[in-house]
Amino acid sequence: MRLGALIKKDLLEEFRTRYAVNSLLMFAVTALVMVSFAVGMNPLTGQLHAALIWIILFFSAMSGMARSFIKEEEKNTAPALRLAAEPELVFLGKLCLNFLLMLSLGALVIPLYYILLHPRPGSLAPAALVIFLGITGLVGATTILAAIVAKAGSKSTLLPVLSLPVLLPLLVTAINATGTAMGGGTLSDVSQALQFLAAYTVVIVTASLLLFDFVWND
Amino acid sequence: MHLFLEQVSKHYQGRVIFEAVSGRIALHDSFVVTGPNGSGKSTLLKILCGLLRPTSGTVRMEQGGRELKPEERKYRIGFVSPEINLYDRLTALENLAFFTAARGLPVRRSVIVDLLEKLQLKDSLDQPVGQFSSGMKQRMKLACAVLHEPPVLVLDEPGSNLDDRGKQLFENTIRAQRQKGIVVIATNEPGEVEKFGQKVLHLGRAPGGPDQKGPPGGI
Repeated sequence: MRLGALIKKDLLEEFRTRYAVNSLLMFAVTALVMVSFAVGMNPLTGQLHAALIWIILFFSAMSGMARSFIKEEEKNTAPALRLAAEPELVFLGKLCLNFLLMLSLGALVIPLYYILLHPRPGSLAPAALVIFLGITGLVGATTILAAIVAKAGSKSTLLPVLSLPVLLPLLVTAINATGTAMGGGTLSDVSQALQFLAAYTVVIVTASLLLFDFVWND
Repeated sequence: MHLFLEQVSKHYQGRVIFEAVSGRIALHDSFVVTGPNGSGKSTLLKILCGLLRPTSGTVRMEQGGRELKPEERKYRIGFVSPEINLYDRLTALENLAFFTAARGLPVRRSVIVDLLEKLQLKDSLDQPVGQFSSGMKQRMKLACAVLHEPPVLVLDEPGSNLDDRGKQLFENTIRAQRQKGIVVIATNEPGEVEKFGQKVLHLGRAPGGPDQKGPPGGI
């Protein structure tokens, strides 16, 4: 119930400001259109398509999710939240909202990518699983990093710089596995990558829950 | 219910804000912190609430003979401060319902509406807080602070932005809170110090460094 209240509050605010939705959408759609013009009719390999998809997802996440904690600090609502809810709940609330936003973005961007750039369909189920788990890990890492940069001076500009080293193992694995699946690879071909992505998500979310108290209260 | 300040000091970027503040605040006490701008009144209140850590010393709260953990203390305090805002995009009702639910308490619309009526905000309950005047926002902050009926109410400059009616509402709330718990107020208004300064801590700045002194007998 308490987690539900935190998610509902963030959803209501997002519904009324549409800040994160607009940032995510504007970046994703602009990047998609630019990529489709740049690529034109040139055929690309599955690996290149996968890299382009993840570049769009990564930078969209950076532009949309950075604000999740920054707005609480800038508008001075963070102290009221600190006095009302446990840090772990606050983190889980933001994590759930970011996950919902990124999942919706993925559900919009990837079909659009297929329409505009028409890559080979490949194996849809393994590709969808890789992208789902990749987005989960991406959201987990970005949420805790967004909380850290909210306390810094340069705030949102810092997020991509801080995120890249943390997200590099996830992005490399996700790009390779998405490329394999788009090239027609089966579920067993990407099973190791899926295991890595699941393990990465579990580790990053657990570590975030343990560390969030220090990030949020100090 | 007791609140203990034990040798609490705060330094910030090499500057001493205040040093070794000690005292004991008991049930039904109203405790006023005064001092010039920059003397650390707001900082001390944030330390009391658990929003800031002191550089040294401790703040303890006892309830029913049991010492509360710092994270438990935080949820037993209602805090009104110019440095705390509510959510501008949410209505008065949504804000209070959110803070009630976030604290794990049952959300009862009638309780929230009654409280808003008491603070003369009932007509604006479906209005976004961002559209409120500064005085209405101050009353909304008070509603949020007392909504969960905390044993300790901490008020930083409570009279700011309020007209006479608003000030009267705050004073009534302070009197009611004193009956059932503790009130801590940071203010420079001589009238408020006189009315509520049952115990007074003056945070001051003497030439060559900060000092603080309590009333005769200390705090």
